[in-house]
Amino acid sequence: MDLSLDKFAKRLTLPPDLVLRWIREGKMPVYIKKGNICRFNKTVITKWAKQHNMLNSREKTNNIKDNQTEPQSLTTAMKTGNVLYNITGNNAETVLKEAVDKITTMPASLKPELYEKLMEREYIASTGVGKGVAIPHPRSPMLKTLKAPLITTCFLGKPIEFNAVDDKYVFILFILLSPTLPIHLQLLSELSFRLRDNNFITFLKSTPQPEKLFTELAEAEAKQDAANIF
Amino acid sequence: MRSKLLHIFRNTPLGRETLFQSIYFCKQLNILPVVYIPRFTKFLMYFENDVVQIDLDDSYLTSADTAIDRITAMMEQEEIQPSFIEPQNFTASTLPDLPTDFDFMCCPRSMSDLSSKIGLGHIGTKVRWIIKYAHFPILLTSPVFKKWKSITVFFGGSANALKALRLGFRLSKISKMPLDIFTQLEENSPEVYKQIIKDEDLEDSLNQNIRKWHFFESGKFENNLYHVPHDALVVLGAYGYGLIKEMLFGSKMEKIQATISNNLLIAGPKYFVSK
Amino acid sequence: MKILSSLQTPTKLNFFHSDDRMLLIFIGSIIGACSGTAAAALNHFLHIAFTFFYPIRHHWWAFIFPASGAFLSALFLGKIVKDGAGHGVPEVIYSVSRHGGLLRFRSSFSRLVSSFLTIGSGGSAGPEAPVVMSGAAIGSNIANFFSMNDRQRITLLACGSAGAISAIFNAPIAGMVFTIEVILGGWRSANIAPIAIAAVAGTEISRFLQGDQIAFPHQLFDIRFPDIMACIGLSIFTVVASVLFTKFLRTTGSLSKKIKTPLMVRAAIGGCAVGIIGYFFPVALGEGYHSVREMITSTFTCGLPILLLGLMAKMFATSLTLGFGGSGGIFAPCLVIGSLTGLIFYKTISVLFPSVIWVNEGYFALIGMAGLISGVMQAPLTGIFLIVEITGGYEVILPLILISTISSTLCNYIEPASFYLKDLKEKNLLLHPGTDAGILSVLTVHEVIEKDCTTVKQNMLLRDFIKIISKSRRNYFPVENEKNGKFTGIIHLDDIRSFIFNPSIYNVVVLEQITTTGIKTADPDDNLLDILKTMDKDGLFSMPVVTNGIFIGMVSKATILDQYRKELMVQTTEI
Repeated sequence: MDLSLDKFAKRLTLPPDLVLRWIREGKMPVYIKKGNICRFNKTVITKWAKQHNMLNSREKTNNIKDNQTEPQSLTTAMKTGNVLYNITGNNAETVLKEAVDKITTMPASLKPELYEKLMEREYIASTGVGKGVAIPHPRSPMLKTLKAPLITTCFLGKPIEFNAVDDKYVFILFILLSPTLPIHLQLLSELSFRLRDNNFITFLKSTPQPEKLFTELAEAEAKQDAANIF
Repeated sequence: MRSKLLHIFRNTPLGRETLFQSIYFCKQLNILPVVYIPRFTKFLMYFENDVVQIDLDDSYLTSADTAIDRITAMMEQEEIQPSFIEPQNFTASTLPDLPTDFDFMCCPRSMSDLSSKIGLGHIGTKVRWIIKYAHFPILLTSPVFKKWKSITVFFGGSANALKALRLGFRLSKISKMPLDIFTQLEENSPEVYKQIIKDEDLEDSLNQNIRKWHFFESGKFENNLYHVPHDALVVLGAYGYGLIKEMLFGSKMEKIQATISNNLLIAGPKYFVSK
Repeated sequence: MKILSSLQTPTKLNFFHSDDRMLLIFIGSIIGACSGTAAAALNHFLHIAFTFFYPIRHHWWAFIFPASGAFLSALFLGKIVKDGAGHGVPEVIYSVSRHGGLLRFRSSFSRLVSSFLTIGSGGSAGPEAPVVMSGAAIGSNIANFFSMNDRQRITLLACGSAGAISAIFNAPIAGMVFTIEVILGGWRSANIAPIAIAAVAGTEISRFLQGDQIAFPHQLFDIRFPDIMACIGLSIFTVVASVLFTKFLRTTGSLSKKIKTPLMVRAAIGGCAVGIIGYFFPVALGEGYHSVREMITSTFTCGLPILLLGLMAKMFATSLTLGFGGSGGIFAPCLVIGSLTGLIFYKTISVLFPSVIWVNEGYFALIGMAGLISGVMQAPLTGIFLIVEITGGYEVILPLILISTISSTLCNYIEPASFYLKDLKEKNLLLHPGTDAGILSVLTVHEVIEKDCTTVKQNMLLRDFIKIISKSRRNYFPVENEKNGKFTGIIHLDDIRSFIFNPSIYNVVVLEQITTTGIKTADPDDNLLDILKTMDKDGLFSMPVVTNGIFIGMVSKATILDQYRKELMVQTTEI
């Protein structure tokens, strides 16, 4: 079949100059016509590429692209995850158990696994990040069934001991579940950034309604985006 | 990256005119002139599929010791940093290889020091060879240094003429000089040529760049050449016909260069429009 | 017209562009026949010239023949075809190693004519190298006519050379082996078939034109153990002769360059000197096959001192012919010098060990030739097969192998490069595919440059820079001047790690203060080998590429290695 040099090189993910040189040197089973049109046999060239390890690099770059999905919005994730009120319990285990049970966006069959994973993470180190906030999350990117990341916000009935870094009692949990690691890290970093703001903590302590919470977050996010443009 | 022009220096008054022409060309188009000072009367250029030997006459070897100083002086006058190439490889001990990764090359019409030949005689065989095989356009200088203030493209509708037209558009854009197109109508109507331009998606660049498109319906081609502005750089494509065919039918390139003394920029058959 | 054009580009046809072996064999046989014809023609004309000059050689004024021959030869080469002097084999090797076997069309006949003038008139040189050059140029130009790519062109060039050598010696194996060993410098299974077919075609043409005759008469030798052992001694002699001969050739070459006369006059002076030497030692004249024949048949009767003088005379004559601008090769002179060396050795051991019965002079002459060929060209296989084929004597194969290998090994020990490769190696022009230099020389900076670096301005605050770092995937940040965009230096993350975590200085530090300046930069036209050398010397892992003060990208060892590996794979595997 015939392809222009540029397109042909793109298919092999090689620079056109290099492909042209290899064709001229006779290193590639391709004939080049006037006007840099490459004429080749598809099976022969696939065999050649396999033999010279040229196909792998192509697949790899595709994978990288898959990973670099669009940045996820914190607000959207929170909306997906829903907001829960009055979670009760005396310690981390009971609170988490109840929170997981109350999560609405997940089939019940997956819940035991999720709870186990969250607890597993808590044993390594507490997810209490200070200022009365904890962000429980599984250690490995969670649950292949998850399509979009979600953050379930849980306001506790009463503050509990959570082994947090600053030893303060925890009054709110953000259960963070994400399909891939990069998304997880990105959301975690954004969430922590929000929580650095003491006004926001005070706002959270007032146990706001979901709509109010989301508008507040969206505003903050918009501000941040504006500041990022430089 | 900046484009580069190869100049073969000849340390004679005629060579000085050629170098002035190169410098002017480079300055208008923001090109870096690279000068080769020959140390042997011949050199080789390895193109894609051909190797071309270029034989110079002895005038090219005149007083090589003063060459660098003279070139530097001329270039610095125009605030251009002189750069030279020294061949690294030799095919035989007296036969250096010159690299070919240039974007333009400058040649006198004939590589001979006799001014009678340099006049408007014919294009020398060596120069013809370079045009035939080079993948860059060749600047054929006028006999004496001549500034140009506009660009004229000869367009006859062929693939090579299209290449020349694209080149003309590019040059006009960089140099911000007006562009004229000349077409000798041979049986076809102007619409045919306009359709060719349309088919090649060149309409936009045409409208952006062009000052006037001259169509000549009657008259001999040579006589019509009077209308080419005397201070224009003439861009045209060459076909690379065999010698015999050229003797029988004559070549446009030969006719043009024999009639007008402008600087010519010739895109040979191997010239490849770079990205 | 359409059929014609598709004939001219057979590789375009679907059948051929994926597998061109049959095509190469077919075109190779045509090329073999063409170059074989050229070789046979030169041989024929040389023979005519020899019979013409032989009766008048003994006259004292005969020295003007070599002089005028050399003059005409230089005139033809220098003024008419404008080609360089010399035998041309290095040019072929250079073109194979650097330019995909591109040779000029004029080379396909220029050396034939000039070497005919030189040798036919009595100059001491061989017709083989010119024939190789012509054959190779014929192959290369035919390949171009069929628009072949570099790999195919090299194969066809090799076909031309094999056909030529096969034809001139009537020795197909020697033609193949010489081509593979000397011209290509390496075996490749894809090359063998076309080259073999071309050798057959060349030989067949030469047999058709000149009759099936081997260059030297076949002798039967009764070889015993002492004779084989004597080879080892003879190899010392051939090594000395080879090294001396190479030295002579090179010194006269550089000497003649110092004489400030036009090339033709210089050639004529050399020719005169050769003529005068030839007056006293006729063995030194021409290509010398006649004398070799006498030596093999043990009819060349001279005393030891005369032989020694004859050897010297031949070396001088050849050096004067070739070094002063005559045209021709060293193949035939090697054979003459080799057989003389053999004879000298025979006379010496006959005196030293009078009680041992040695086989005869012819045997030592044969072995000596092989020793010299493998010594001067450092091509043992060529020596072995050539002598076997041109003398038709398979029984001498054992001593031949012995002397060829010892002689070429010892010569390589003294002179690391053969006569053909010496100039090329000195100028660093020889590259073999698949070697380090071979790969690095084809890679260019353009192919390994990375352009995804974010350039930053000199006066930027560290605060703004931190934001850029968080978005960049690179560790290096080129810094440029605001005003003219010139590159001033580079910031490497490793160097500033200690203070980028200190927010209190974000607003007070300007990038200029943390830029590393004065680092080495590369130019896009630089040779990758030089860039790597600089990196190794300074312990760098990457270098900025800067042209005219403007930054265009980075080259790093990692990308070079990546590209290097690809290139290595492509160069070393067969399609």
